[in-house]
Amino acid sequence: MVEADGATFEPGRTHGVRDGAEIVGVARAWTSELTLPGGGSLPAAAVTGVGVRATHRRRGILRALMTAQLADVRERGEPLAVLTASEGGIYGRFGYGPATWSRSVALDRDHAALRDPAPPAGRFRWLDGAAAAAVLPDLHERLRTRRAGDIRRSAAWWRLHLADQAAEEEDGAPLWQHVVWEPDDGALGGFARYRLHEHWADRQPRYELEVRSLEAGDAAGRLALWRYLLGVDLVRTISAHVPVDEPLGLALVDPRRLRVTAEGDALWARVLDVAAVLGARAYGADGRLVLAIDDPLAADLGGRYELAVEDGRAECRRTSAEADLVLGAAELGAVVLGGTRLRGLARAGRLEERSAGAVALAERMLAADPPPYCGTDF
Amino acid sequence: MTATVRDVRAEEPEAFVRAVRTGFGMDAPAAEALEQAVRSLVPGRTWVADDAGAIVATARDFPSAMTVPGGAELPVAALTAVTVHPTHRRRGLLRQLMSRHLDGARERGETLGALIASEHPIYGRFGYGPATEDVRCSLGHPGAELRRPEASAGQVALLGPDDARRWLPEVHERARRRGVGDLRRLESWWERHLADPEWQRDGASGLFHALRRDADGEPDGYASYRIRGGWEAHLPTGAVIVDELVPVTEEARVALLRFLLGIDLVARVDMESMPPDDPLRFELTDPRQLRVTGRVDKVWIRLVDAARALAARRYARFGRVVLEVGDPLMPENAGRWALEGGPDGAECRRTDAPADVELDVRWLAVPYLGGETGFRALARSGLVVERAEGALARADAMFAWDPLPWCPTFF
Repeated sequence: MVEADGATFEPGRTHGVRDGAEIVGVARAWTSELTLPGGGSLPAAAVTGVGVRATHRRRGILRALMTAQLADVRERGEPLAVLTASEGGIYGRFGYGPATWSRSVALDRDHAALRDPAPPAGRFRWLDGAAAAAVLPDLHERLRTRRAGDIRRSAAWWRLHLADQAAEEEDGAPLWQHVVWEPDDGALGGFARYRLHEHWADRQPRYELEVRSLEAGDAAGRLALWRYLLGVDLVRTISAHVPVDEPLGLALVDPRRLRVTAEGDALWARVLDVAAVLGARAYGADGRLVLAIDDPLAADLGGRYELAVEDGRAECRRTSAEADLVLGAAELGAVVLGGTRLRGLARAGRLEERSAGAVALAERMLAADPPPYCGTDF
Repeated sequence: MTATVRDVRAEEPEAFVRAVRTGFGMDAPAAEALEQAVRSLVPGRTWVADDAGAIVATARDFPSAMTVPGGAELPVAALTAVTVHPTHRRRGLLRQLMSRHLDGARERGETLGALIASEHPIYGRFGYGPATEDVRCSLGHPGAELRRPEASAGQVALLGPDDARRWLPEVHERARRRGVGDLRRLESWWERHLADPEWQRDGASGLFHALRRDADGEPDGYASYRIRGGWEAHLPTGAVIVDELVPVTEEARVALLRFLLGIDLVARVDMESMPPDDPLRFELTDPRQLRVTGRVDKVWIRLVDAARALAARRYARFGRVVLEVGDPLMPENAGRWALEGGPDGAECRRTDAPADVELDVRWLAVPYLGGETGFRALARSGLVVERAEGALARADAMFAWDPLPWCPTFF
């Protein structure tokens, strides 16, 4: 997403290409952190604002920008770069792979009864924009430790998104609303950000409720927030983007009423320090693997790494041992959070199994529960 | 007067077929389709509710088989044509028909029941749960391009009706045995499918059948598809609608995809039923050229003999879990079972040991074939209870399977 006002502009993190006096290509990044499986975080460059003038296509400008930017990220000691892609065919060649997935869902409120009629114990708090600015940044920062794949939203990110909201509302767009769920059992709860699109037909209300964010510390929190959203008056249809393990479907009397309308990549990850990243995340199973990484953009990053997970503790270091798996940087980016199955990449001919059973073992080790999800647009 | 549920009589098959069509809100079939439908009825496995001589509810099943994780093939009672006419709702007729189906399956030693649900909320109360998923997707054409160059020396050819009848059933059977969750198709199933009546085409062409042969000339996969034509401003707007893509080998899968993506005069290729673990997205130069347009439950299963079913499959990881199963309809499944299994075999015995996981038999059907919705996912939706910490994760590690279950067979 490119912001017109540059609210998330961070000095010293913008690369540009000039043709004479004219800037013809640009790529920005801001300083963030990415949550890994297990809840730990590593510094990550949040890449955004990437563009090349239509007059200057096919001259290697994007490659120059990406190369310079990734070199800078490495120099800063950030082991990861992440982005959300405008198109799917662009960033693979720079070593980014689709690491988290998202489903678009729609449901008709009239048919969305929950199996369990008992409301959970706790309270909902409704927040306007100003109150949201005070509460949500800190809440989101705590929530994102509960699941891999999301990033730390900077103060600038929040300013931009809440300011966007104020500007949109002035233009007559509907009010962004926020609700915070605070369960009695002391669990972390969660929040939702949504707006209502007004629509009447035959004097009947047929509003659409658009959910922009639904973040909770656990499934019970998600279901509590859904119960709130399903109870909003005047609404006929609800749309949202959700993680692939969304618990709402099977919690409905009729699960098919939660219609999956699309499913696609969300966060793309680029690993710039293999040992640091693989050594920092938690694993689904113990095991030992030698990965040979082929990195076309940063040859010194490539090579063989031994990943050993014992009693859940991981170590990763360079090795000269024979490789069990051979994969490219983009494929490593895709699987690093456990959101993309190695088996699928192997069947597509994008990773090579050198020792029998290595794909299955790697899949068990790298699996993350819950699966990674990134609810942050940037 | 109340309706009575009984076996269909020898003189009634045509009345049965008409009653099924009424139940689904459809016209009576043409003579040829009626004859074909009558031929697919299995004596002793076709039931009606009779109200003063009129058929007011129907159900039938047929013998089939399903491959479960590890390769064992279990006998299946495949249920279909379940209707209750709108005049006879809320009288317990469905429950009586379901008893016929499940009692018969138990007596014949059929380990599983299977069905495709018209609506989701109907069959859970009879112990059925959704066990496979279909992904629907659409590929831009031109646009979707495979990353890998053509590598295989095989060939794809379109088949006439006789060759389709000759090759498709045999290739499907081989493909089915490689996977998990698909059903054996009866001869009468193929007869009706290949007859491809006009009313099933939804305005598109009849089915084309493309058979792929490997370099040695051995058939190793097929694709059946329709063409929906369309032009606007001298540009194609139509689609290839892929009814099924059934490869025996990975090489055939890629070759058939390449074939489908190469069909001219259309704007997209729509895949009606793809396995959830299909790697196609990752085979494209731009993964977003594959748009997922839907994802929905397909085959539902019922563990008729839960202990036998659990012991018959293999498990990805060796493990032990004690399951407390609820099954009011088939109490012989109810109670506490110690399941111990791994990649080489499994045992399932009654036990007095404390339960690790507590669930209704309908929810046990969901992870049984190793699909993406495991025990932890069910627990997140409030459908199973974890009695011992870590038991759900352990059970998931055992039950997960590669490949994921998938059933292209509609019945």
